Amino acid sequence: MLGSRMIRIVAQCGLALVLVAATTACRGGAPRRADAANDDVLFIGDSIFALSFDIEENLEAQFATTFRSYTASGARLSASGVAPSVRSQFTSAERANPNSTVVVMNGGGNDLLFPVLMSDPQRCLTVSPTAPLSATCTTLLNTVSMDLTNFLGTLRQGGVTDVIYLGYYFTKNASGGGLTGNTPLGRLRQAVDFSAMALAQACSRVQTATFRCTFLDTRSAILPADIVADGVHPNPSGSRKLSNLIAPRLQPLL
Amino acid sequence: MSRSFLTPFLAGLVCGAALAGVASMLLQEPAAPLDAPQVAAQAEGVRRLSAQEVLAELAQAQAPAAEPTAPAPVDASTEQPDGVVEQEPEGPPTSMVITTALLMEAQQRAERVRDALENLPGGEDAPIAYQLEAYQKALTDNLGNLPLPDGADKKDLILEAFLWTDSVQKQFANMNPASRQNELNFVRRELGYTDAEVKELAQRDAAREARWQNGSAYTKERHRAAANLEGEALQKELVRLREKYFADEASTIAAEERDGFFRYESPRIYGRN
Repeated sequence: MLGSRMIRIVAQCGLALVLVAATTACRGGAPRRADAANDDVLFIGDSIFALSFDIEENLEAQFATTFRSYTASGARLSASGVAPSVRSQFTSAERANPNSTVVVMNGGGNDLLFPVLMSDPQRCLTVSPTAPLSATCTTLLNTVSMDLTNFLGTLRQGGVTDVIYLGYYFTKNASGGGLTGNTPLGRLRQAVDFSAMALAQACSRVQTATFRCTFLDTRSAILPADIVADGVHPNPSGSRKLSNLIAPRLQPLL
Repeated sequence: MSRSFLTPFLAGLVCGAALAGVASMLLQEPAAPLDAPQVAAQAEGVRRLSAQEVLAELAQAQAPAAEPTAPAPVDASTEQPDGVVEQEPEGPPTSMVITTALLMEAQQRAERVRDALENLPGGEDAPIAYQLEAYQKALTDNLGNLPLPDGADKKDLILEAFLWTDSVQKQFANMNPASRQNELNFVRRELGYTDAEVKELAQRDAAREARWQNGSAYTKERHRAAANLEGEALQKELVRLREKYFADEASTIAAEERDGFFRYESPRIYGRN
């Protein structure tokens, strides 16, 4: 009897592993679309795009075209890992075709989330949604912001003229906050706020007369109902909202 | 405690936390124990149980049992503060009790790893190799079977957690660049990086070091200019310095400084930035 229960536990844990793998896996390094009807536009980023590809597909349907896409689940901004980093996605895309001038992207979310999942050494989880962030966490987020600044400089030098950066929204209390009051991902609110500020600044600081970076703040648009049960990724309504935020910025560039 | 009381008690205690535990497991969030027993105990005025106690008592209670006793009724949904209603995961309640206890134990193990990192033996005085050994032991003892993403991510995360430790960074800061690089290479090899990966990362370290050396030189000149000049003369000198040190990035550095952000005065995390 206990044995069959243990099998069930293993099955449940196995499901957890499968879901975790699904959020970090990539497609063997192959881009979703290296060559597109519109090669001017390149998508790079993490699983907010790549878990479902709904955002790209919505935009492709709306504009009746296809765009290049190298987004990969599990991608961090610059650091290596299982998935190609956002920086290496751009390098791969440039190697295949160096002529894209518009980049739609995100990046940096996993640089915050993964350490939180690995014992939170920077203490980015706050004790309550309004408690101040630790100094170490602000250092981490400033480091990620500087990584983004440096990367945007690379895009500028690579001939990109316009970047649309999709900011991160508040993660959802996926763990049943009614019991504990402050469940883990709800306690990332302060970190997400600080991150939004730091990443938006990175975007604005690299602008020149010939290089524009638009930061899309998604925090007020995406509600808990727009996020799937893992507390992180957008469901179809969330992806639709994110597509709708990108579309008016992308349209004039097509 | 009799079995007839214990099983519904445990079920009532932990099933309410099942959603929290399972979702937390899915997200691999080991850093913040949900402390569900404490919450439930407070609410019900009963004694607090650790995850290990839950497991032990459950095993004892189930040993002679052929069929599980029906669990205490629990609300099928949990409303979050934001009004979103989360459905509890499906499955036999008794297995959820066991699962949740296991998950809480996993979270407690992760907590112990963080405690180990924050209290590395010897502080800033012990050799990094010795501290790394203590960290590895804590990992083996506590996270040996914790499901983390396979492959390089796991290795990177383990490395980064170590590199973000205050005492380790203070030691790096007191080393000359060559010694520091040797230590970084050693730590990476010990954590499973191949020679090729160590070499590639060392090249990145060298690029970062050059960037910081350049930034430090700029910062010194900037402070000197600020001490000796003011007004338009100071601004002209700062423009000149930024162009001298940062070339194409000068406008970006100027924008950061307008926001009051001085990147080369922010904390250095050796091996990371």
